[in-house]
Amino acid sequence: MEKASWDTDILAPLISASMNINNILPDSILQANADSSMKIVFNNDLYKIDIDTLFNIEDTTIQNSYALPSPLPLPAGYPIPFPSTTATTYALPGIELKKVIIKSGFVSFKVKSKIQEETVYTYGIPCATDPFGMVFSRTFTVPGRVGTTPGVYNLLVDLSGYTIDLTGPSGTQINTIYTSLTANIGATPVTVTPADSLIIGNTFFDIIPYYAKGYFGNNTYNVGPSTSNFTLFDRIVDGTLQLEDVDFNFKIENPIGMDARLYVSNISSINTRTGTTINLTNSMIGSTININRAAESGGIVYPTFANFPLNTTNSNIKPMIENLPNKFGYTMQIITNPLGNISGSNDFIYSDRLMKASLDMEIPLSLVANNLTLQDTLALNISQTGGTQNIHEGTITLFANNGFPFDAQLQLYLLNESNVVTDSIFGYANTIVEAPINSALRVIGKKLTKIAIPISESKMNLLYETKKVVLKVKFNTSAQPQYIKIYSEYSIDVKLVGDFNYTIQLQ
Amino acid sequence: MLADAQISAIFSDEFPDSTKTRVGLTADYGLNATALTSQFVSKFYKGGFIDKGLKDQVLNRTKNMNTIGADLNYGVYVGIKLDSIFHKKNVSLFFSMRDRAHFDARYSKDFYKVGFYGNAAYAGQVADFNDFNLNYLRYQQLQVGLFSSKYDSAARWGIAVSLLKGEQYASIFAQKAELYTSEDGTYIDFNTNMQVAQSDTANKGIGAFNGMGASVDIYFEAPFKTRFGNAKLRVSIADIGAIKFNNKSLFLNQDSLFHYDGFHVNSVYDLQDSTFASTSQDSIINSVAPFKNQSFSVTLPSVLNLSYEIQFNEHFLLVEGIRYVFNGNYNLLAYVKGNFIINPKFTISATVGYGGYGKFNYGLGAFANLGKGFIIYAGSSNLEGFITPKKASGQAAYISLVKNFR
Repeated sequence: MEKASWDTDILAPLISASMNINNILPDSILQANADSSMKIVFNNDLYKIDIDTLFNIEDTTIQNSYALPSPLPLPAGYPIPFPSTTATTYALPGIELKKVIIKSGFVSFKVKSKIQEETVYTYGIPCATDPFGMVFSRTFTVPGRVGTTPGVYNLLVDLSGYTIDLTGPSGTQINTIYTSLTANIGATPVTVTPADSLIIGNTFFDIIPYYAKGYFGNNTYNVGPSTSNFTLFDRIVDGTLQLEDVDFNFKIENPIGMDARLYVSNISSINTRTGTTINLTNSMIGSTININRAAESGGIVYPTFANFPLNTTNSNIKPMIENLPNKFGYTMQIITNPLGNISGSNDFIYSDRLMKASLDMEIPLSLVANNLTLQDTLALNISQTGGTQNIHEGTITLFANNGFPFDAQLQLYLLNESNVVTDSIFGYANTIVEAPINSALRVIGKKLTKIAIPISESKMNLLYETKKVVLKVKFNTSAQPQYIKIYSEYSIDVKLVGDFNYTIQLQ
Repeated sequence: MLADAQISAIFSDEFPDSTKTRVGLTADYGLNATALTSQFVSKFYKGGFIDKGLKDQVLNRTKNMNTIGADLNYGVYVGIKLDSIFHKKNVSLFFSMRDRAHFDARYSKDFYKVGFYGNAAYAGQVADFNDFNLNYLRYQQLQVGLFSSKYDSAARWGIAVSLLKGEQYASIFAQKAELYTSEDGTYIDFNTNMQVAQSDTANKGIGAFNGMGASVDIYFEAPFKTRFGNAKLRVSIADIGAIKFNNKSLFLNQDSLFHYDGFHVNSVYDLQDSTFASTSQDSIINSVAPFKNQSFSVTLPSVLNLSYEIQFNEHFLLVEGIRYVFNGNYNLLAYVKGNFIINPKFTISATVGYGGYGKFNYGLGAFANLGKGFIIYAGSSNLEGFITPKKASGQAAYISLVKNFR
């Protein structure tokens, strides 16, 4: 049944916000200086060396067949004679692993028995101990053959957490894993003939170490040219930003128990939007950087660090940042164990502790923004059922009480499903006016701007169909060309008020 | 006869000696309002777009304080002469079962204007909703009573007690309710002192047993003679009682100033997520109006009827009366009814009144003895809403079919 409905004129606040710089930029990258001026503290990883970079444990399968040379009657419980251990050595060129702790991985074990009666097996990996120190061992019964169909037994074991000693049965080998197997006739005596073979398969697969110890080799890895994404300026799409100061640190952290030597050929600031690339100029570029090995004690890793400060006096880092990069480029070479096996095969690595080269940066928010335009795409979902669909037309009024020393021009574009702009909200220029400042370039009060945004019925209908909007805000700082500091107490109060023709529909 | 469920309706005509038992079916409904027109109510109830013309039509009739009320009753009854059982002359025992619904409300002009035109016109002003009251009650009634059924010059009386099953109840009483919209719309204040009660919302329908209660009906009729003819004074009070709704009911007692200045956004990143969509109406309601489960008692809207009738001649009987509903936002109704007795088996009546839930009330009714013990009453105490739907609201109808058994 059709429900009653009628039109009303509703005047109501929609959104209210009071935002300081912490509400505009993520807290995680903001810090206050002693004078309450703000700075951005950001870290960007360029490159990481992990276990996979050094070595990779491939899947390994061992399959053996056993048969007696002549028929032999065997009593109940009698051991079946065949080799009791099998060893496999992983092919890891230049790498000499003595021990790994497995983060994840499996061993599958399969027995096909053509012996007429059931047999009892004990399968072990003597070099594998679980976190409680127990050596891996499983005992199971394999059924006898039925006619010509062999008895089959499958075993799958999760090796996560197991410690594997890779020094082999003798304790002097490397990269070697070995298993043991004993077999006995079951409760029924049986005559075993040469045709009564045993086929035993043994596969280690998907082995990912959490920890490895040994000698990781003297190898050279060429890294790049490659790029690393830099997200700090992701939303900036136009304009320029001048910074009074920047303070960077190129840092290498080595939590691996292995010496290394690093040559950095190039680090560059890349702005793909403008097509501008600026290469870093600093004495570090092209120099040899020796990185000492980390120490380990009681399971605690003590990494080593190499730091290379980059500032306005020793580098061109400021124009690199003012380039508003969205990527950093790098080319480097890493040589592991440049002095050879000086640790006595006691190199170590943890999978969650990676050697990395990164840029630590501090950017004081003392800046000149000139038409600096930030753009973001927001999802818009004007509910079909929540009642907003009943808004026909009206005016949204933006009240902005601005306490920041910059003005801001707003525009909101509506996108269709193909992300093509179909319309905009502001049909005319509008500006949230900057706050007044004193001679010390500090804000002394707030400035109220009122912007009315008429929404016609056709635009309202378009809004209902719109799923995405692009918000574009263009900033210009006060007192240009002087640098303006942003203080923690600065804030802007924003309020959206709707004055709508709204149809009330009874539910 | 007015549209209500009172014991006088059961024995309003003679219950002749030759009749031992009577069975009746009754149904009545009534709706009236001081401001809302029949056309408006019809559109509101049946659905459709209420345009500005229709809203203005009501606005022109709206006073500072306005009322609306509605009743719906239907049921069945059985009357038995006790002399057929206990050799008790002129006293009848009766039982009835009814389904009853009552609605009434009192609201201000500002309430109507904000509700149907919006608050924009109140920018910088206070909209006064003070003394807003709304009640809806639906219950089922099982009644047993005694009635002096001799229809002659002797005084007659009746008394009945009822067991009541509470099905549904909703009530809002806002002693204070003021809505202030700031001049620029940047905030809205709602200052209220209100009580809201509602029966178990999860248990609805005629089978819902959400409360229990009892009520009493009393009737008295005294004949006397005047120089114009035989006269009777009648007084009755119906539905003196209450229903106690169970502890699954919801209750709110709120004395607060609500200040709304928009949905608060703490960060620009809030605009990117589903903050708005995830804020359900329920969570908002719970945060501003924390209902609690609580049992409560509801006093029934009790009906007082006082009438005086004179039989001028064998063809004309005049009734003058007043009617009042306690606990029902009702205004005193004064009415005059003329019964035109065409012949002993057929009477028509016309009623004129002022008050009640509306203003002027006009009605017509008919009584017909169809023979073989069948009697029918039908009519309406409010025809004005049918005749002038754009100017009046009152509409009502009743029908009663009686079968007398020897």
